[in-house]
Amino acid sequence: MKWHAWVVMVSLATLACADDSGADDELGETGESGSGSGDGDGDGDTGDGDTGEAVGECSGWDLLSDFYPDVSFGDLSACSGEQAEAIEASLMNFDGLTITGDSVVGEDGSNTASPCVEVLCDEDYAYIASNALPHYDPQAAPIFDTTETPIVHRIPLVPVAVSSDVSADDWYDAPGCESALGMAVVNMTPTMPPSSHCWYETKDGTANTGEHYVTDGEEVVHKVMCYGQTASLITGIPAFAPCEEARPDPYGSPLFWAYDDPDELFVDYCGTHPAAITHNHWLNEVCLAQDADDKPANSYATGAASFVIEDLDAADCTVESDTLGWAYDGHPLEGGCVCMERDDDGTCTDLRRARSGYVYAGLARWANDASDDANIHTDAVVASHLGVELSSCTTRDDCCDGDTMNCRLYCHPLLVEDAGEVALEQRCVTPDYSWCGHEFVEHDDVLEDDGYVYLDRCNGVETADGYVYAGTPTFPYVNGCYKDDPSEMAIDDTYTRLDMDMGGMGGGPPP
Amino acid sequence: MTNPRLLLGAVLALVACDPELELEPEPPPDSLIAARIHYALASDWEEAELVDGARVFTTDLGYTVGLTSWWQSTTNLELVACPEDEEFRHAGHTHDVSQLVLQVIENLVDGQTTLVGEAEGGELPYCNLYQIMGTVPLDGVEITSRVAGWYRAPGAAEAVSFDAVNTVPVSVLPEFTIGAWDETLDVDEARVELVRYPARAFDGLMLETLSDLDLAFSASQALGWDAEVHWALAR
Repeated sequence: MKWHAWVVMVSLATLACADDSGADDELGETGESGSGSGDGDGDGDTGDGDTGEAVGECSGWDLLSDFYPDVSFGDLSACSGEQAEAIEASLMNFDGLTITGDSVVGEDGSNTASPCVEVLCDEDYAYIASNALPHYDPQAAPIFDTTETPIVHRIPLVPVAVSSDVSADDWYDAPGCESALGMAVVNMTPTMPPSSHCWYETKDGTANTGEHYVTDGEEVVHKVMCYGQTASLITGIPAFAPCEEARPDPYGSPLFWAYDDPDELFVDYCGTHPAAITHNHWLNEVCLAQDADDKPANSYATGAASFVIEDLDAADCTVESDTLGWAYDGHPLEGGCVCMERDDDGTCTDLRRARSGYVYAGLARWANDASDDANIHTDAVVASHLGVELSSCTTRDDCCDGDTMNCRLYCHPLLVEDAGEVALEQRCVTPDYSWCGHEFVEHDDVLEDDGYVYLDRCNGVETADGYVYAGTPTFPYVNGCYKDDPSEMAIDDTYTRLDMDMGGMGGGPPP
Repeated sequence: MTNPRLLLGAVLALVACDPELELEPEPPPDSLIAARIHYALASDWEEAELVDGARVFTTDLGYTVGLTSWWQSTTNLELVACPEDEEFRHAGHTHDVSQLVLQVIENLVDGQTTLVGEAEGGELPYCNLYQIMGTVPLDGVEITSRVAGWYRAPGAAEAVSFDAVNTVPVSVLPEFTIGAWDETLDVDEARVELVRYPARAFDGLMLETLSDLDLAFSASQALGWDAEVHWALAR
């Protein structure tokens, strides 16, 4: 997908150099920037002066035909039909909203910019165009630039089941996780994800993490990328898979660092940080709440103050969560309180906290004394920082023997299984290799605990309103795979490549 | 024999008359490169009045504000190297050797300048100061800022008192002003002083619409955005 990265780079350069008045002249009426919808007439009256191609007001549309060569803007129209209208209605209204801050790089070079998100549809898909800007003044460490980045998400209007004929990897990947453990013990930076739980392919296409699909022996699902978009949020910003890149925490959870070192603001408390494209690693319902006009209902500070993992795991749901995004297989991504049953009037009669089916089981569990790699023998693992992995803790000092500057462990609240019971506890954990540190626990009945419903491997569940993914405060945070077949955005690594090409935290050893 | 006084007078007259011989002021240093950095935090209340211990000022929206205390944290100070070729800055940051991790909380109303510590300097020229206002304990509570006082909205007769606490970290990246030379510094040393302008931090805020959290957060953020980094090098 190198060409995609090139196109995005050119678009970014064009946006950065654009003259305001000229840009306005070339933009038409179709995309109602900030309103969350376009007029969708698709009549070509919104032509780009240079190419004759119709464009909307949101810069994401500039890449429509680059991402989807089979689609032109004129093919799209206003969304109609239940699913299409639900997508349109869910999007946030950015009318009149501007953001500012030290890290914001606006079109005119100033420190202000305006987020946009718009949607148009054809018969099969909704296309959500965005410039991937947050709706609040960016709060992640301002040493990272926040700049307009075009993207068009393609969301199927009717989910299509995965074929039973596809080749799929096994969920249980001992060799991959043993390799991960070996690298973690000696603090080695990997050149690519070591396990097959997620999808990754090298730039030259000579190596990858296996098949696009994965199975537990009963159900076949589609992998998410190891680092990359998994859904469009209602802001148009992409949700990203539950891992970072090879650095700083190799294919690890960005939440551990951000939560346990909140002053660092590696990721802000709405779950957002910029990279090649600004993205969300987790969802914060308060940050994404909308008022009666679909505009942001709360400030960043209000959202940030609400992000307390213990509170977000509590079985005290009183209000159904809203839709917060749309995964690339067409299923909604919702907040943490889901309705499992309704009465004839449509009133929810069984509202539950959606709890991840994954527990933290430890990277050290992959120790293997029979391995040729002495680094993963039990004595080597115990002697490493992982020797105290999963110990109870109250502060990070408990995990790091007082040396938090050079410590690879965090004291983090997450789900663990103890004597068959799942509970949220503070434990010493490594952020590295999230897929291998966590283990999916089968529940005989997903409703077995009062107030909770346990989610499947993809972090989804069949609710009273159909299948939904849920945002959770523990791994995998967003959808961890696709229950149904996703659009091509699920494996499009444009932004991953762009991040690497720009010297980001991609694979390979540190420079 | 020539009279020395006459000779001196003649030389002085020549110097005074020849513009090429005038002593030009030394230009300021063009970039901050130093092996040792001394950090200081300062507040400049500008035109605000000091009334019964409170800093009183009027915002751009016409609110009269009186602040009796403004406790403000600083937990990280770190110089950021100048970008090469206007490079895009993105996730992947590793801390600079100039990082100073600290747990400072100041009452800005006092208007004091505080030396807060020192750190090594790197080899590249620096252009920004990365400040994090994280949480520190104040009276047993972890906060980033606590702002107390009163405000009177435009045209309003009554003042509204507030005691607003922010617990959410704020980070900012103020830019350098023109540097200066400082005779008191040792060779290879630099002084970096973060100057905040608290009386500007309430500009643009419609105070009656804000929760206490948003008031304190917004004020801290604006304080950081409007700050200037004054710096000096040893001659």
